[in-house]
Amino acid sequence: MPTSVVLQIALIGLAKSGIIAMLAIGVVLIYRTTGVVNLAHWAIGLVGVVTYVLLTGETGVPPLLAAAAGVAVSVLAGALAQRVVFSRIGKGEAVTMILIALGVGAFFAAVAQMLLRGQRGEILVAPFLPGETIDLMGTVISASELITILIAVGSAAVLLPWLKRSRSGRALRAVAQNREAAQLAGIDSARYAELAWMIGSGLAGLALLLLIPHSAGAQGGVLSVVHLVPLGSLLLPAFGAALVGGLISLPAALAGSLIFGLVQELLILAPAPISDERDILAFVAITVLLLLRTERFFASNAELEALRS
Amino acid sequence: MLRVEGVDVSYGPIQVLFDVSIEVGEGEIVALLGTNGAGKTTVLRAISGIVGLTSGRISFQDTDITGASPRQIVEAGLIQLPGGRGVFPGMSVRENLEVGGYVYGRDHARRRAAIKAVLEEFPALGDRLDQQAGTLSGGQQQMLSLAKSMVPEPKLLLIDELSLGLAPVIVEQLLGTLRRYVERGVSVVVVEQHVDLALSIAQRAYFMERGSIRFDGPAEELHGRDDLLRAVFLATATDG
Repeated sequence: MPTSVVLQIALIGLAKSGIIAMLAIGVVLIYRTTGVVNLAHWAIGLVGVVTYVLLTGETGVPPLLAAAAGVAVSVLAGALAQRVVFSRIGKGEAVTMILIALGVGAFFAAVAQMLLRGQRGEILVAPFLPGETIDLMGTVISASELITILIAVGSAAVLLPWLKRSRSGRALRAVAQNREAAQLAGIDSARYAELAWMIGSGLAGLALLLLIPHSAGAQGGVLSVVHLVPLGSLLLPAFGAALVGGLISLPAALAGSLIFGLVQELLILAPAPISDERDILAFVAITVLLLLRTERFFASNAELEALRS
Repeated sequence: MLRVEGVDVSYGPIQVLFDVSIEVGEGEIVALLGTNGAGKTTVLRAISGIVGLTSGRISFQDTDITGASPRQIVEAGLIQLPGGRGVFPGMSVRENLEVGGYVYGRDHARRRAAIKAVLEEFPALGDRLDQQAGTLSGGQQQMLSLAKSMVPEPKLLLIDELSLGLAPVIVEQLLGTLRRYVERGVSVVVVEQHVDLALSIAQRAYFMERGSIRFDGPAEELHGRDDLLRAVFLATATDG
């Protein structure tokens, strides 16, 4: 197998990892700070993409500006979901929470469909990233893939140190670890919970904007019915990656996104039947992670109790 | 210094505090006693602004703090140690202290100075600055919780169940440190189920039952009130 092909597949895998990572970071941030398993994450990112589609299609707004607007809409959608729905429901049974999250996801997916005014079939989406390909020592690399990887790495490189070292990042972690103690230290817990949702949702919007308008390479992308289903096809790997860290550890979620992105993509090179059953393997991996109750490795019992109650 | 007047609190449709009035003077240690579910923690939460009042008034140093935000109350110098280990388990001891100084905002110098002063009172913590708080022993966590609450230089401390789950030796240590702060003018309200412990350090006591104050007076007087103390002893006895 020529190295150029392996490299190409690796790059596609890395770009996929980047997108999964941005989604997974949002899932972890939201779960850690507010205890919500955000199954609406995909849909919140989707409304950002739909905003982009509408702005570039109908009003001819420059694509980059439209993309920025899309991210902003996702941020608002996430803040809305937290403020109107999730902040008001006490932490009840896990099943109830999950149903509510699915409901919120269905709501946003319905809004997305409404905004597209029932356009059936597939909608062509113009890209906002350059469509050039670069030839690197015999390997053809697409600029959009490279930029996706850079943006993903950049997001993590900005977010993780901010969480670790800044006063507000520390405040957000405090709210996540002991909400009452944080409040008693003078930290506005509700505001920081909303901030976590906004950051996570913005990343979701960004991730889907890097994906959908570029899924067909230089020609752009396609928004189809498949994307409008609440549990989008990337939600599962995103949660899988987050589950590597028990929905709690960000570094582990990043490692997880490499597994569900890069490794999964590289499995194409594996002998059959492994290569054919890549998706099933992903499913199996997620089931194993759930059974392992990976959160035990990343948080004390006290913290886990606090998240559930 | 602290005046709670005629406070009612409800959780939704259920009223849990009925006309509660409490006073704490400067440099005083006051005990708030009562059985489980008597409403002691709710009183503290109302004072700290975490829970709203349906009626009544709370004033601190002659300023009305009814309805003030938790942050404003912390900034005024009224700090609470919550029950059940008020530390951030995933953060180091140092980070916990830094969060304790959150209200210093961007005044990093002042925060650092306050933390340094606190560490002089808690040398054991100084040896473990980089240790994750969740890996500390129960007594050390409670010590950290106390230290953390001293970083914003409180004028009045509300302590919810200081001794819960701790060995008497450790509790004595904590009380010793607490007494030193009281000598410097910090007032304290201790909520305790351990009556003897509370009465050993408090000058005055309030006894609560089912959301109301049933007794208030000098601590020694409470010693003679078998009718009240029996309820508490029975409750703690059946708790095992």
